[in-house]
Amino acid sequence: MEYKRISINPITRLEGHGKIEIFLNDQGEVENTYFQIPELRGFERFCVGRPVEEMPLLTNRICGVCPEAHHMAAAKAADAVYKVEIPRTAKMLRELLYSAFYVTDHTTHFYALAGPDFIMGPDAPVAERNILGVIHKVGLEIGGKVIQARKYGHSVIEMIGGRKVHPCTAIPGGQTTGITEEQRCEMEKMGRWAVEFAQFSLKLFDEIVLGNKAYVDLILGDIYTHRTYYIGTVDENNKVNFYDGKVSVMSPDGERIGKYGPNEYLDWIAERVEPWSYIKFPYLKKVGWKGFVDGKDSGVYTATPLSRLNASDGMATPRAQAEFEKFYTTLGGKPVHQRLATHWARLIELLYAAERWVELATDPEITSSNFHAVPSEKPTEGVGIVEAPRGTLTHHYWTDERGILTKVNLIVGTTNNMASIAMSVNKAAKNLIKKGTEVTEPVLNMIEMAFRAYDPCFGCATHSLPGKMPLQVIIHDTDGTVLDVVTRD
Amino acid sequence: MVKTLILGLGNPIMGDDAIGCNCAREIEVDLKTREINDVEVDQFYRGGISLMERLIGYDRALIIDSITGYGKEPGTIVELKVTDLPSLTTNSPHDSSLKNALEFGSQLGEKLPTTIDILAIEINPRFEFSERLTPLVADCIPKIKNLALEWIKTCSQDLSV
Repeated sequence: MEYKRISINPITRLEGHGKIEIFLNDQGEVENTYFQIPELRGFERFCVGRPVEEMPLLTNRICGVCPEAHHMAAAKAADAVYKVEIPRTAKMLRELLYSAFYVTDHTTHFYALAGPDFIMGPDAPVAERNILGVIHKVGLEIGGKVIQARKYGHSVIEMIGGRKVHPCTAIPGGQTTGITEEQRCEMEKMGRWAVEFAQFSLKLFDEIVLGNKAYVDLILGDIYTHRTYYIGTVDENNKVNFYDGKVSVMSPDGERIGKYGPNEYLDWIAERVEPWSYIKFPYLKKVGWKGFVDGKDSGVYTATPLSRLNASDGMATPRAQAEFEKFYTTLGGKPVHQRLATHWARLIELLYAAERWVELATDPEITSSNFHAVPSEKPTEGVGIVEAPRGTLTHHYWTDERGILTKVNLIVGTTNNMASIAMSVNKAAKNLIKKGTEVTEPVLNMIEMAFRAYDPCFGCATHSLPGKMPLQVIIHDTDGTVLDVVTRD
Repeated sequence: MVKTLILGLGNPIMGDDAIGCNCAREIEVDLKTREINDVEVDQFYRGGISLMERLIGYDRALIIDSITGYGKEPGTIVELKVTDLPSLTTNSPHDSSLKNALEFGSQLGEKLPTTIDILAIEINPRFEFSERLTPLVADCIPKIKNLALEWIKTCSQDLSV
């Protein structure tokens, strides 16, 4: 069998670089597809020997996209290392900051990244498939709202977290500082605006996407569908929670097979490596690894906005709950397996985050000065879990009796989804590239849409400006000769 | 009053990627020593829309960052304009390019610098965490400091014309 090779090789500003390699057989059809990303090496080793209380500051440098998630997971793991129960006010302050962060993150993803595929269309010229194209089509006013949502989110992050970008106030035992009544009022006002904005965004999705039969067919079609397990953190009522709770595990049939707390994650999650990728592929230990395949017997799972909805019994706020019900009624019940529905799920989470923001900002205890409990236990080992926008984020630390780190293990959001992303990219390529198909830019974009739904964070810490070749497609002949190079700028 | 910003970009624990931050730190000290108080110096860790938002409200800005892919030796300094950067229209799953983000901000009527210059330092990304710069990259810090001073002087002259 002879093969032809196609590479989709993006080099990105924030996430390092990933590439998709598509191997065609001599019939011109897709034989296999590999989604490859460089793993950032050595972070766990880099942390060993440092005081555990440094971790909330250190780990938020891993990622230029979601430092808030690492800050929270690290703080929770450090609380657990010291076995300290943080005061209710501290927990609420962290969750309020985190809700505001979710609003900024989900807003950016929908309007700047996923939106162009639907608002402009997946086959729109590449020069228009970006946020500029979006505001050109839907109006400058919406662009202004996007910036406003981000501005408000960052204001809350700064007021509670001390800095706009890398928060620095969560420490073992709680927070270093609280908020004033004046700040609370401001946060409440901004949160109420965010609720209206989230509702507006869902309405826009309803009009532009759900109102377009071609898009609905695309979402519901088989190209972007996988029947896998789903995980997501839920509260005591099995409602979605981003900051705290237990991780619910739902089967492809919609049966909850269990819930695990942070200390139990190793009973549920195992990791494996593949010779063609640097990254680890987690899977459900209780189900087992059967390869990159769908189904109840395969331990492949995902942890995304769609997964969180699938793994829960609903949303804990009223407006988001109504949208949750509409989502499953429209898409035929739980669980939903169509990966492109993740974009809709993300907007429902946006609304939940905004509503939760208001709930927390109006709680009488949010301005209490009881925001820290001094740790008194000897430090040993602890696990912290939060839901990062891109998936369940787990930090596990071991220390000596002085609190100096001796071992660190992280499972970051996107890592949970790597097996499913690989399957989605492979399936999309096989469906879209047939014998004689001209591999055009829109075709490549529709393959990229398979992984964009997951909002993946590849090696999320490189900041170097990309010099040349931001996106390169290389087509190789069967003997490796380069037939064509397409550079996208 | 004209608002001027010098921004060092990078990840402080990502080896040579931190060069922009290190330069900003040294420039800040240098300007204080010279009693140049009308230039704000800061470090920043994000790109795209966030970077555009950070630039709002300034009249002129100098960005110092590492760069890859120019094929130069590590430590080589390249002077760029925003127009020299790729658009990166669709390939970042999380963000927009700086070029698009600036256009986005401009269309929304945000007050963005009329002058944005970039001092980029070629690095060889290793994807490994470290707080140390490699010697070739660290050696360029004094040159960057001088270039930043020249940039401030040139901007002042332009304004006085």
